[in-house]
Amino acid sequence: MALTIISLIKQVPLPSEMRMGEDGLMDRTKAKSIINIDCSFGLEAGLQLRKKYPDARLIVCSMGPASFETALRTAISMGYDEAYLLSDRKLGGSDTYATGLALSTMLKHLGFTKDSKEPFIILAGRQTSDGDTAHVPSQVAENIGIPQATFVETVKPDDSGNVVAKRIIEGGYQMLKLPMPCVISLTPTGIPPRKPSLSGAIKARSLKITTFGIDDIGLGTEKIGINGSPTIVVKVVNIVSERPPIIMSEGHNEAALVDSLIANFKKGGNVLEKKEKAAKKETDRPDFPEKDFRDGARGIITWAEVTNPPPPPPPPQL
Amino acid sequence: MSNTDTISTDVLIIGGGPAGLATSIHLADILKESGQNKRILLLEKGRAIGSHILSGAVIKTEVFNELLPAVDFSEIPFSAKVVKDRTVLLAEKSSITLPFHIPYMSNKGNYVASLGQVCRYLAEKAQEKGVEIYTGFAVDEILYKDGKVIGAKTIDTGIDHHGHKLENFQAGTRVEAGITIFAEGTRGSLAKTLIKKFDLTKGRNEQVYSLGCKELWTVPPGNIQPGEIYHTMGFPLDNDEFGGGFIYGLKDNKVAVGLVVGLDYPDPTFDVHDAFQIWKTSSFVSKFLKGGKLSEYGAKTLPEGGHYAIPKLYVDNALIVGDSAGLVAMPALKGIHLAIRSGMLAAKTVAGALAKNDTSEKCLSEYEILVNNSQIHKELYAVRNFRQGFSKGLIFGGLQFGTQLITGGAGFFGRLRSHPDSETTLKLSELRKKPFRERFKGKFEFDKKLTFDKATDVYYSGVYHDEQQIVHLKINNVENFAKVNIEQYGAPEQFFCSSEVYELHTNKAGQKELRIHAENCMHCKTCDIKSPGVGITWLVPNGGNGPDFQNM
Repeated sequence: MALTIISLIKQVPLPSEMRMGEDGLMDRTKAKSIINIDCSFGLEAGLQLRKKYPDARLIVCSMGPASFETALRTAISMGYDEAYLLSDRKLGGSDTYATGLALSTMLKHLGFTKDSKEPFIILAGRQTSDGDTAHVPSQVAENIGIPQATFVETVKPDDSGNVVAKRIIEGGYQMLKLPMPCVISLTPTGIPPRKPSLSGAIKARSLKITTFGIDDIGLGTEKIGINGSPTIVVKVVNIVSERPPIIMSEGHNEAALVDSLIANFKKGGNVLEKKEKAAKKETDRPDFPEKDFRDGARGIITWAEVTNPPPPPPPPQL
Repeated sequence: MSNTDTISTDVLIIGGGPAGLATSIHLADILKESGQNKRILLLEKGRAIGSHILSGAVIKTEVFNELLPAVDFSEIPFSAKVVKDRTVLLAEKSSITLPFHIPYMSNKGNYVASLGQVCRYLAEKAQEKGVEIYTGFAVDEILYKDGKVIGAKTIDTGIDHHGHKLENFQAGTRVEAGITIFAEGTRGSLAKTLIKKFDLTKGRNEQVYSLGCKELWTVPPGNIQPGEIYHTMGFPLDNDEFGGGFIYGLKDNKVAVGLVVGLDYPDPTFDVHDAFQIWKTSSFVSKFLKGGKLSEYGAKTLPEGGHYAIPKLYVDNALIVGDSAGLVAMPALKGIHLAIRSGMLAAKTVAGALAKNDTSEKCLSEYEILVNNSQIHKELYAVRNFRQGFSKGLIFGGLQFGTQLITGGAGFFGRLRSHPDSETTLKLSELRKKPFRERFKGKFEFDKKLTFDKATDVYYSGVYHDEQQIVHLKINNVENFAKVNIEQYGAPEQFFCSSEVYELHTNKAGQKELRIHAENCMHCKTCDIKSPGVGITWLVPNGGNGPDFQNM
């Protein structure tokens, strides 16, 4: 039983250089690129799994323009064995739904299906810095039809062929045991990605990256690209804060920094911010009547507007 | 996974500056001509080629025609040909332009350029010729077998501050090479250990250095013409501080300004960066920067010892080229063309050695013969006593230089010795003049428009270091350091460091200690050179760390 570890990665512009094009789509032509931070934690999670499965085959996949080869080669130089790129002009403008579909179609084409006899684990970053949706890993899992765990910090294999994922939840962690195959999306809080090795970089230089077009993997055009994507970008707004930036604290060493912070603190709060808060409170009220069911108990109110109420549960029968 | 990978190559070049790149290009050319098929591997610790390259730069370009005979000269990305070249005697509020050039300092026919851009271009050419270049890999160990160099190893990564392996530990790669070329630039950290191991400076002078701080500005059109260059002497330097400023007009309304000061100065509180800021406030300099904006900052040291300080350049299976070999011509401070030439001569030697399948010391000694018969020797020999003459101050140095000019470089005293820069600093109690801080009292309030504090300048270098690694600046003997460097010298590290790595801190017990902010490090290596009593060793940090110069 040879395990395959598949990492899904995306190359993103450096967050400091990110620009939105006129059309509301990311302009990827000018900025310097890096492997999306979360994805690089996914890559490392794969390399960690190899400690337990030394014979595992590590492959890295991405979807995007040919320039994404740089990111794939970096993954190889970190220790991955093979790289696949799904690259087709017809995929341009795909939203997360279309991306999830395209990636899972490629993986199925490579033989990774729900019923495959050989076990595999798909690792991905939680979300990307340029899209920020966190949809794709889940969509890949749904399309292939295998279990998924999201927001996972670390992945460890157990001795009976499962993986134990440490998942971040509010106020703590949830330990999940998943059978293989499965999809796991990683947060950038686990084990940081290792640096490339020179021997890896030398291997990456000459390695052939397999590039697929949509025809190669038998994917039609109706559900991909800008026209096949259900998401429609109606308008892009550049939000500019009306509040000028303020210096909260400044100084050359910790003593000066703390002194300056205390001085600013004593000087009084940011008046503008207080006003904004008050204004926000008023507009945040929903336009339907509110009823607090807590009866004086403490807790968080959550409500949902139910348009088609389901039938009430039948009374318990004795 | 912790097993170290080993790869092998015919030639390993450590360092992707002008010397290393020229070696690779010329070697690839000769090997192709002679029908030899050999692997040339070049490693660079910077994130990219050019990331750690900083120079003025005014370049003597003839050598490029020899290095790249098939290339149209206009294709090489020099910024502009020198059109106006002046040397200026500077005072705070006035200046006198010298009516003549200081001998050996004329820049007629030279070009101003960003050396980083030139190196990126050379790297492209090298790759076209089949050289394998890998950037972002730091080499921290020379491999020996039976006492002979057999290659080098890249640094282990994924290690915490104390040297413990972390979960993402990645072992370095052993590179076994037929010949290893050390082209690390000024004060190369491996070349230093190689020179020490084989005592390559035996019978030669100690190498001495200067530190240059540089800023690149974008200025309104008309402030300066491309190719207009000025060198300044005087303000804000004293008689016992050897150095001067430069102002180079580049195309696209850019101007490079900098101050270079010999590290043999005596004042333990002297600060080249701050002196550079004060230099900018002089009316002569500030007019060029008026209305402009800072775009980059950086610093580097340069070897100034000249002819007598060049170490033996070869051992079994290894050669030293460029700044690592100390090939810089004074007083013009020009080393780029010499670095390229030394690389070409090394290439010639290596190609011959590979053809004969003999990389022994004896065979590689041809390199030194080639150097001694080349323009390098000619340029350095003529000024062989120049820098040492100035170790006793400008007036004495000027007189000496005069006699040297008449006698063809010898002077009246024959070979002059030099002292390492780590020995020239005076103790606070020995200093007989106003310390630097008092000399310019009231001038250290930097306005962040024309003048910048170190922390702000450091931001403009794009510097980055991985958090998890061994601190790459090592205090050699902590106890002794506290007693001598801090108590007697007043921790000169906090002043001479170009990028605020060292901070003098008083701990809760009331003891003074040096805090090291290694993440600021500009890789100029001043601390390795200048720290009294050789207090600090500069080790190479992880690959891809350090500044990220774009156009320096």
